Amino acid sequence: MMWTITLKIARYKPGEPARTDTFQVSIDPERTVLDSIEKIWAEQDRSLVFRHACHHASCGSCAMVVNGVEILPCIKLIKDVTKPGGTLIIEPLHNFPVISDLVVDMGPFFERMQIVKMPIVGPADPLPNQEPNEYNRFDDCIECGMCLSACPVVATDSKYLGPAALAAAYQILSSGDGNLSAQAWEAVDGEHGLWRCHVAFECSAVCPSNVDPAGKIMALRRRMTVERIRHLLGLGSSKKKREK
Amino acid sequence: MPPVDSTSESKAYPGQSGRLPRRQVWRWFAFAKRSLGTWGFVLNRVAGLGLVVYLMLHLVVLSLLTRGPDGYNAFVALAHNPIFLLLDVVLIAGIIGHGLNGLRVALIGSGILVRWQHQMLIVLGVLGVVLLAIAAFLVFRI
Repeated sequence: MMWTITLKIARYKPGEPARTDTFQVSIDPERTVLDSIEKIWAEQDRSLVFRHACHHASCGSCAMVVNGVEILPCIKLIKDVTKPGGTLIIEPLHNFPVISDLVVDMGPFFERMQIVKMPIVGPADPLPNQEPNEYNRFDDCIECGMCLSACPVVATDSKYLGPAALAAAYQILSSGDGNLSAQAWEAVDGEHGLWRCHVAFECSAVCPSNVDPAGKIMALRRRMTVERIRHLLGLGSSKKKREK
Repeated sequence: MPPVDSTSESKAYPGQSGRLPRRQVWRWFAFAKRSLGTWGFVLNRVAGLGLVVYLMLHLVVLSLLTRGPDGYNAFVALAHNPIFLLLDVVLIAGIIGHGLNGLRVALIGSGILVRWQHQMLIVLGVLGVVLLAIAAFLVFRI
């Protein structure tokens, strides 16, 4: 059984006006949204630019917005997002600079992760003589950027540290003797840090790896609130630990 | 096969510039197909902005007092109009919605009952509707 569906895809090439192209494809509804995009690229428009690699929700590179919601098109089946004769409106992730068509510059995501010293490089397990957390991968995060795209706060505050980096900060603090650098503390506890979150929980809703960034931000807030109350009551301060 | 129609919708989407996206205030209100948490976020934004507008109007109305009893009494007589009473109910809806949801946000934002944030929104929503129904009854009865 094949369905004929319409894909309206946001197009952008540097120096050219933005536009939306409409394509029709005939495809098995058991196939994925990424399959339909690849079919368009193979059969209709070789200039369509999109990013993908693993095809099984491991790399996070294909993340995009389909019908207004961030998804990984490599694992989202056609039958789960539309119906026979239906339409898919496909856009690149929000809150990122667009490079071309559906490909965004992920720099803002990794810059945020770098602030809390959670670079996503190297192996998951620390190598001998490695600084703690230097090469650790943050939890199950696949660095897809969907949390940053879905966050309504990032939409109006591009300096907001954002869900993934704040959740990574909590992860670092919660891991044994883990601690944040002074620069990281300044960002986490600053004007554009964890207090900026307005509890929409959309980051957790769209996260394909169940990292639950919003839950971790709230846990971090609780920790900070308790620390401040203890400091006010003269029961000890977080400052000593921060300066360690 | 070329695109079916590559020019009929030539509007740019936000951020489609190759540069950092501009502020997108409209996304505060984009709740369609989003999670329940975003619905709560949008409710607080809309109610909050509505209450700010109401406070402005309230100050304007109070300024009628500077015109003496006649000016203010004329407005009070107008305020008994059913349309104004309906606006009172809308105002109360905003206060109840913003207040109860604000309580939920304050709890969750302090790391309390985080896992129950969806359930809290539903329970407080039901409580809000009950309170609003009582308030509406009292407004129109008086």
